[in-house]
Amino acid sequence: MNREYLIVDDEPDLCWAFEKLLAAHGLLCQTAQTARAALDLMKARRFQLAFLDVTLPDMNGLELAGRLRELDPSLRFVIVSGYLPREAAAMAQAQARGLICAFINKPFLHEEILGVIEKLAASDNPR
Amino acid sequence: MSKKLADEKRDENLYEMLLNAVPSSVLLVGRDLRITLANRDFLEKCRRTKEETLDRRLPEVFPPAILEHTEIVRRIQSVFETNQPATGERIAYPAPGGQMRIYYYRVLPLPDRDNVEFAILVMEDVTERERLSADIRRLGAQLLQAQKLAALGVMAGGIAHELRNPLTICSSSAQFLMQEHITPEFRRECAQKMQQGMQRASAIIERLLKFTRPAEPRDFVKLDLLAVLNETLDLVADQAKIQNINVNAQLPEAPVFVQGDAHLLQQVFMNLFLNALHAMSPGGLLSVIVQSALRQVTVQVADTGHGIAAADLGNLFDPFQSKSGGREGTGLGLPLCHAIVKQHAGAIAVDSAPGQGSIFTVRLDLSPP
Repeated sequence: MNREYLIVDDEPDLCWAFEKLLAAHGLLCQTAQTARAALDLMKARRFQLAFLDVTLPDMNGLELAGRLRELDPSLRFVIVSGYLPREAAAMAQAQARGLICAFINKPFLHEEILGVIEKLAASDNPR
Repeated sequence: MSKKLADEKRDENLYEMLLNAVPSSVLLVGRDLRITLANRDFLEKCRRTKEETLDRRLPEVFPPAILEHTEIVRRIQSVFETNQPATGERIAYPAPGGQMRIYYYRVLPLPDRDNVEFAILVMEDVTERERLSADIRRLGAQLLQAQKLAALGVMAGGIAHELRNPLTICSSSAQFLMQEHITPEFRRECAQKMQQGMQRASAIIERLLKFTRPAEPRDFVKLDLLAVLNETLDLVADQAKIQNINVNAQLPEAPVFVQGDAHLLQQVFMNLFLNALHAMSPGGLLSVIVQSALRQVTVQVADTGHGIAAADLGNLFDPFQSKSGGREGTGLGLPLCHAIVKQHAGAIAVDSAPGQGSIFTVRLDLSPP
């Protein structure tokens, strides 16, 4: 099972960085710059994991996670965002109730992204 | 003593008392510039006795610098020639003891039957008044600066977020460049992204510095109100995004010229925008509509927030009553907006009801073409 990754960030260059990073490790991804575009992508595809920015032009990242989960209950989410103190509580809560499985701060190390991917892949295929 | 003489003596005393009660220096000067009368205020300010002053010519009493560098003698003479009051002039007069005092003087003809024999020189000490108005200007500038810093605090989250995006791109590109086997094309692409990211970060910083730079009192100039609005909208764009607020700006295509100070006007709109964002979150719509008609331009700033209670509407612009600042502001934002708009000979009004959002309207005169 080698499903694609979903990247949602309104910053095109950030989507570029994700694409290059994942491609270097043989992973494919689809990118969306708005919540609407991400929801549209979900109509025809299923994703392994979604990396979401918090501040999207049309919706909050956590809200989008909820909407995407309705479409695919097995989809997991990682929030990638510049840390904002006012978001800290909402993030912790979302993590506690299992909506998101990780929160990565911008700017991030590539190892952090790859680490999350590996960790989740390992939990998917327990030996 | 005859009754007539006694009356004259009494009148003279009365005049002297009246003159001495005047809180300005008053001199009676003849055609030959001889001083025939000086009130107590003048004598005290110059620390001269009556004997050292009366029946002496102005050049013997006034410091030479004043006679050389001001129009005072010429204006006294013009009063004798024209029988008309001469307009005043601001002079600096070193008081005995070295302290500089600022005076504003006027020269009036003393009405006589046919020709003018005397001119009245009235010198008003405006030192304190000028110092006070300088203090007020300074306090105003400090208040404006405090407001800006408060606005900056509100925007801090947005700024941090806005800066982190280009930083993330730079960081990612640098990490790619650290890999060993990459193509020259990819290397160039990474370097380019880094360069662009740094330029973006630097533009953000530049914009902030421009906003926080202390405003110096300047003369009003003809400026494009739309440029001010666009710059201010740029500054709050990220904050709006963080709060999931849509911004709808309906600005005309052609520039809208007004007379004013861009710095001050930006502060007005920054306050209105941040108040609007503060009233909404999370989610909502901030509309900025600019319409010009005849000789006026109207800027409407509308939000879909919690609105304002009728009881608070009346004193929204009152610095001592306003609650508009809420927990994130100083409570002086709207009074300051009001003061700045007034300074621009404009008007600011509000229309709001609880739960119905608020519309702030700023009206300014268009600059003549």
